[in-house]
Amino acid sequence: MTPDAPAPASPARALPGRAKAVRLALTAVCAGGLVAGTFWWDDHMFPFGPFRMYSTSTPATGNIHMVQLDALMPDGTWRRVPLDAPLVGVNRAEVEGQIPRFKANPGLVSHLVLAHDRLRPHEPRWAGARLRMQYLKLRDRRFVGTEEHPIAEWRRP
Amino acid sequence: MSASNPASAAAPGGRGNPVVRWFFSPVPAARVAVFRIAAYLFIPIDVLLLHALGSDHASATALYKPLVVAELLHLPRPTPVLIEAVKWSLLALAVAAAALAASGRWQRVLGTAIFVLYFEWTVIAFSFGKVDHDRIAFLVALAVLPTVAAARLRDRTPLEAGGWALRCVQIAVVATYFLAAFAKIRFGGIEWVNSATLVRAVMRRHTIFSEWTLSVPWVLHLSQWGIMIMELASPVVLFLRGRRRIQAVLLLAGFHVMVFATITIMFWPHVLCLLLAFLPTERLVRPRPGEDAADAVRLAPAGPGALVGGQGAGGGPAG
Repeated sequence: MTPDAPAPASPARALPGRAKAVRLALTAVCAGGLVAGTFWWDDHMFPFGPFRMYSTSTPATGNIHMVQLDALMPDGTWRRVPLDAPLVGVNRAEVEGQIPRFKANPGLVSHLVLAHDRLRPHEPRWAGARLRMQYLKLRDRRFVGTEEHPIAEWRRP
Repeated sequence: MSASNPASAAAPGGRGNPVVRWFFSPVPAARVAVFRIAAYLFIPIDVLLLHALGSDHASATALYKPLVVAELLHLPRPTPVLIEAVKWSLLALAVAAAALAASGRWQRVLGTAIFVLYFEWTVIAFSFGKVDHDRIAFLVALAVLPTVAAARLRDRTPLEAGGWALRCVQIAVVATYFLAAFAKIRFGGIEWVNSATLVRAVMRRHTIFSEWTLSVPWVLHLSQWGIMIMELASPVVLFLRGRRRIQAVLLLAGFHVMVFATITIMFWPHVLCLLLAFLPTERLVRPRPGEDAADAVRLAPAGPGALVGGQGAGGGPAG
């Protein structure tokens, strides 16, 4: 940063040929893994899965899926609560990634309730919880209404 | 790429395989040191604030769904104790590494341990049904930074090892965009650009900055075309130099800020890598007496290596 003083040239510190060969080989293997993940594998192959965030097509006239969580309050009423990790240990996207598990074994919903017990010990304990699939209906890319269907429900014994 | 005769490119800036020269185009040691400090300081912020999923998962370990790599490496099933142990070890080592990075001491040992722990932390976080796509470049950075020997903060010595490390991060950054385009074609089909995917994104995660787009859906439709074009064109940034490179990097960073403002998704570690791997960050640091920024410019070898700015990007007035 002192343009008036001629700066001495620092000689570059070179790598030996073998070190370069090893590094290039590692680069090729990792790049190959990412390419394979992109075209053939899926998320479970992380770190070599595809970069698939928002990669699916949502029809301009069709449904947007969104899982919702309802908590059964001590007074017997259902209340819609955020499906967030700080509240129930996992977030919405994670639950959506395991819908078949919840459908096959509705008792898994208990883990959301128990996680809430641990994470929010000062809040009223939920008597149960249910997961519901909310469909936000689109027509020509415009929202026209909602529909909901049950996925799984669990009540504290 | 070919590594058939890498020794032929052993002399920095010398003749040899242009691909090898491109990969090992030297960068100032200071740029590596800046990267280390920023990356290791980012870890506590990430683990405690931005991506505290690992800690949250300690309350829901029954929903664990292991990744293939966890099974291949026989990683233990996460328990609250394991998660806390990984977290606090990682935090302690990251702070120590950041503190020592300016001197270049203990960086290989600390950096390797940090990579292993952060990888385990990430695998735990992603083993509950959702994988995020914002940290491949950061994982690559943590993997390659320890391969560079002592790189002091005020040292402008050009390093081929540093050049390769930063090139790997650059490639990972670009791959996150470029390969995402092919993932869209694979999962969404070529009609992805004409689908309502961004309508879905905004409906699920809208903010005050994006609600209005739901009543003007053609804006989101057009944005999908823009995203696809940007992702397919992203490799260009690898071959820009100087001012144009800086402009391209800021454009990409601006894209992430816009995404954050509209759907509250921010690729924090990715953006960190974008800025630190492409920009001449050694300029943030006063050089050691007797050296100046001109050294960084001189690093750029003539020929194909120079096409990428010798990774001393931004040095020349031609920019």
